Amino acid sequence: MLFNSTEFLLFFPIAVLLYFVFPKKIRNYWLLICSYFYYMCWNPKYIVLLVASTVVTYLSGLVMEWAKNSGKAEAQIVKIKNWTVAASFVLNIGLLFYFKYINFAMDTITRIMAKFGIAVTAPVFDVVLPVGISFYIFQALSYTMDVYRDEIYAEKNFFRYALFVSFFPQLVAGPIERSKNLLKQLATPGEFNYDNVRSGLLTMMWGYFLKMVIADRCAILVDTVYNNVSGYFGYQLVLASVLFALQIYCDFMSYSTIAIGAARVLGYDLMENFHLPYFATSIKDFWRRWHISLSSWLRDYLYIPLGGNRKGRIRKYFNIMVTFFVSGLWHGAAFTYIFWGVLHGIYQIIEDVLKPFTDKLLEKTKINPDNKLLYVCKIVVTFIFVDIAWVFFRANSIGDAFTVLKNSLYTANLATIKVDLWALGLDMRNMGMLMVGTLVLFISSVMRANGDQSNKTLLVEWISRRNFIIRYALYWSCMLMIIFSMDITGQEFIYFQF
Amino acid sequence: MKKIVKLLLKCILVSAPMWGMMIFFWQAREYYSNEDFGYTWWNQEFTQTTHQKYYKYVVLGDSSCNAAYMPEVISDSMVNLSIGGSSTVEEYYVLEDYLANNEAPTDVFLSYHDSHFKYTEAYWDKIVPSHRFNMLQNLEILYNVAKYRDDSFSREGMLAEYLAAEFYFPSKYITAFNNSLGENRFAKLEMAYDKIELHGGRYTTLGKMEFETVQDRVYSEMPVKPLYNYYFTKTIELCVENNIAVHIVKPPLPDNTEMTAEYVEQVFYYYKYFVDSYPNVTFSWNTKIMDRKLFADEIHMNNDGALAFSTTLKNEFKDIFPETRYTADMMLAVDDSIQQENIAGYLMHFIGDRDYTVLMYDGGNCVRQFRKQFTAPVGLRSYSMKEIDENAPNADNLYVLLAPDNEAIDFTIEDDGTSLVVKNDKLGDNRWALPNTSCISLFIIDNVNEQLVGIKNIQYNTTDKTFENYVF
Repeated sequence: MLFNSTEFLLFFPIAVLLYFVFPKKIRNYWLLICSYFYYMCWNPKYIVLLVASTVVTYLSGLVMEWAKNSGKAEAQIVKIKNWTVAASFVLNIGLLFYFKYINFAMDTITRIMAKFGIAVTAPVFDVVLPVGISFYIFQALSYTMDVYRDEIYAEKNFFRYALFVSFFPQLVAGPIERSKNLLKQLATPGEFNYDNVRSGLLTMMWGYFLKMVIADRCAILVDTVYNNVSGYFGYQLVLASVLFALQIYCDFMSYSTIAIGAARVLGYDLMENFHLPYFATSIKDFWRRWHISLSSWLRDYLYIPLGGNRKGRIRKYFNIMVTFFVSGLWHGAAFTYIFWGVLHGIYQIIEDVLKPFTDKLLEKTKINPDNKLLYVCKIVVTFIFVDIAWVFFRANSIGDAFTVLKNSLYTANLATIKVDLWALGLDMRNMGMLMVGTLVLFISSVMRANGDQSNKTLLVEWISRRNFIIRYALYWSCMLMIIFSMDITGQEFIYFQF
Repeated sequence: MKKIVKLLLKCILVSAPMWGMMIFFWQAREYYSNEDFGYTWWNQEFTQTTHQKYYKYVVLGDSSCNAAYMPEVISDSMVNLSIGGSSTVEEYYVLEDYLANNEAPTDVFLSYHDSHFKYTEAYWDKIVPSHRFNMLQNLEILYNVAKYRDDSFSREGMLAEYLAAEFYFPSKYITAFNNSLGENRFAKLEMAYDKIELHGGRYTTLGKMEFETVQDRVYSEMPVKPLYNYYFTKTIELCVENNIAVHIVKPPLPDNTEMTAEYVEQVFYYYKYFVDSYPNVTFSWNTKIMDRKLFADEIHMNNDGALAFSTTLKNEFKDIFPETRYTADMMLAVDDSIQQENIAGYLMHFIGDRDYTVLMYDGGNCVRQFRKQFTAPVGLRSYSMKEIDENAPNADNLYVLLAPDNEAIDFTIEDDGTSLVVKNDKLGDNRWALPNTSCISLFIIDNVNEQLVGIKNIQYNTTDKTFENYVF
C-alpha cells in the first residue's frame, strides 16, 4: 500500500478515526493491527519475517535485561550480553542477507571464480525482496544495541515493542526510528490534539506535493534518458542527472514527510530525515543532512564501534570506507550502489586530507570563511560531487554511469535544443508544473535555511499564519497541482526497493 | 467536540478543489470523456430502457463482434450489444440489464475473440468514466474475481480503486480531463452517439481502415480462464432460462492467421460442450479466414468485412432471418456506410439488392466493362436513360441502375450549363458535376428515405481498360 495510492487514502482516515474513538488502553493494539494490515497488503506471507525480527530482538532485549538484574558477575553478564547481541545480529542480518543479497552474492562469487578460470554454476534462489526489510531490521537492531549499551531498559510489553518495529507510517521506508524516541512515546498512546492533527495533515499535503508534483515528473525525464544513455548527449544527460538529484530528494523526503505527518496526526513525533541536503557545504555536511536516520544509525552502530576517529588517521579512513561501503550495500544488491557508497567514502577522505590545505589557503588569501559567495561556491561544488555520485546510483550499470559522465561533456547543438528538450518525455505543461514545483521547494528551503531551524515545515507554518484569502489560495493551488499531477503519478517510492 | 467539527470543516475547505473536481467529473462526463465512451453510454442507456420496439435478435460479444455484426444488413429486429474490449464477464451483465427491462429476444448471438476468455479491457479500471455497471454488479464481479483468483481483474488495492472510480476521485479521471483540454469532446461524443444509434449498436470508428501486415499470427491453443468460462456458461444459462436460442458464432480472422490442428480441435471441443449440454445452442465456425483487406487490424473487421460477414451470416441463418425487406432505419445505416465507402467493388455490394436508384454517367465509353466488373456480380440491372427519357441531357451516356424488383424514384434531369441537376419533389434540386476525365460517375439515391446518399466517381484507365480500385 503506497502512500500515494487510493488504498492508503481509505486506510488512513479509518485507522486514525478508530484510533481516537477507541479507549486509550487499546489504541496501541489497534495501531499494531493497522500496521500489520498495512504490511500484509503488500504480501501477507512476508509478515512472518517482520514477526521473526520482532520476536528475536524482543527476546534478546529481555535476555540482556535479565542478565543485568541476575546478580551474576560482571564478566558473565558481559558474556551473556555479547552472545545475545551477536545472536540477534546474526539472525536479523541473516534474514536480510538471504532475502536481499543471496543471489547477488552467488552471482559475484561465480564471476570472481570465472575470472580465475573456474567455472561454477551457482544456485539461483527464488526470493522476492520483502518491502521495507532493510528499514525494520535496522530499527529492530538499534533497539538491541541500545539495550546492550544500557541506554534504555528492555521493553517488557511485547505488543508495544511490536508496534515500535512495525509502526505503519515509517515501516517500509523510514525514518529508521530509535527506541529512545519512538518506543518511549508509544508508552503513552497519543491524544487527539487539534494542532497536531492540523499540522500533521498539512505536512502530509506537503509530502504529496513533493512526490506527485516534483518527483514523479522528474522521473519521466530521468527514466527516458537513463534507460537509453547512449542515445543522449551533453545538456540532456546533465539535465537528467540534475533532475535525478531532485527526484531522489523529493521522492525520499516526501515519504519521510508523509510519514512524519501521519505520525503527528496520531500524536507521535518521528525524527527528521532530511535537513536541506543540497545546501550542504561539504560532503561531510551532506551526510549530516541526507537520510539522517540511516547515517546516524551507521555512525552510532558501525562507525563508532569500529573505532571511529579515535584510532589514528589510517584507521579512521578505513572506518569511513567500511561505513560507506555498508551504506551503499544497504541501498541495494548491485555494484552501482556499492560504487556510489565507496565514492562518497573517497570524497570524505579527500575532503579530510585537503582540509588543512584549504584552511591555510583561506587564511593566506584572507578570504572570510563566512563570505556569502564562498558559501554559495561550496554549495555548488558539493552538489556537483554529490550529483556525480548519483549518476552511479541511478544508472542501470557502472558502464552506463561512465557513459553518462563521458557524454555529458559533449556540447549541445543549440539549433535543435528546443526539439531535443521536448523529446525527453516531458511536454511543456509538465515542464512548467515541474518548474513551479521546484521554485516552491526552493523558496521553502531558503525560508528554512534562514529561519527557525527547529521548525521542520516552515513553509506550511508560514502559510497557516497568512490571512484567509492568501492561505486558501495557496492551499487550493497546492491541491490543484496535486490533482493535476495524478495522471502521471502512481510510481513507487524509490526507497521502497531498499 | 467543537475542535473536531472545526477540523473537519477545515479539511473539507482545504480539499475543496478536489470536491469540485469530483462533482465536475460526475456531472459533466460528456465534456471530458473520450468518444469511445459514447458507445458504452449508449449501450447502458439502451439496455436499461424499455423499448416499444421488440428486438428478436441480440448480439453479445467483444469488439471483434461489435465490428462484425451489421444489424442494418442482417435484420431490422437485431441490436448489437457487444462492447469493445469486453469479455464474457461484462457481457453477462449487459444481457442481464437488457432482460430486466425488455422482453426476451428469440435468439442471442455470442461472438468473442479467444483473448476475451482470458482478459478484459472494458472493466472499470480501464474505462472508468463509463460507469457502465452498477455498484452491485461491480461488487459481484469483484467477489467472483476473488473466488476464481483471477489475475486479469484483480490486483493490489482493487476494491479501493473501484471505490475511487465509483465516487469520481480525480486520480481516475484526470488523464481524460487533461487530454480533453482544447478539444470539443461534447460534440464528438454527440456525433459518436448518433452514429451508434444509426448502426444499431455497431460502433463504426474502424470504418475503412485496412489491415496490412507481413507477419503471420499463429493460434496454437485456446486458453479459457475459469472466471471467463463461469460467466460464459452463466450467459448461456440465462438465455436457456428465458427460452432464448443461443448461436455461438466464432468470427473469422484475417488471412495472416495460422491455426494449428490442436487449436481447431480445442475450439470445437470447448464450444461443442455447450451445444451438447444445453437446449437450443448452436455453434458456427464456417468461415474461419477472410481476406486481410476486410479487416482493420488483427481481429477487427472494417466496414467491408462486416458487410461480407453479415451477408454470409444472414444466408447461413436464413431460417431465423426470413425478412428480405429493408426498413428505413436499415437503409439509413447502409447510406452511412456507402458514404464512407471508397472501394468501387464494395460500394456495389452495399447497394446490392437494396432499394436504391443509382444514376450512372459513362464518361469514358466504359459502361460495358463496368457492368461486367461491378454491377452484374451483385445483380444490379442497368437501363439506358434513352429508354426512360430520351430528352434528358446526356441521355446517350446516362443509365439507371436498379436491383431486380425495385422501381426507380421519380426524377427529372436538367442541364444548367455547368452540371446536371437531378430534381425530385422530396430530394429538391441536386447538382451533379460530371468529371472531365474518363470515368464512371454514380449518383446514388435512397428510395426508401428519398434522400441523396452521395456521388461517387470511378476512374477508368483507357490504356489498360481497367477501373481504379478507389473511388474519388
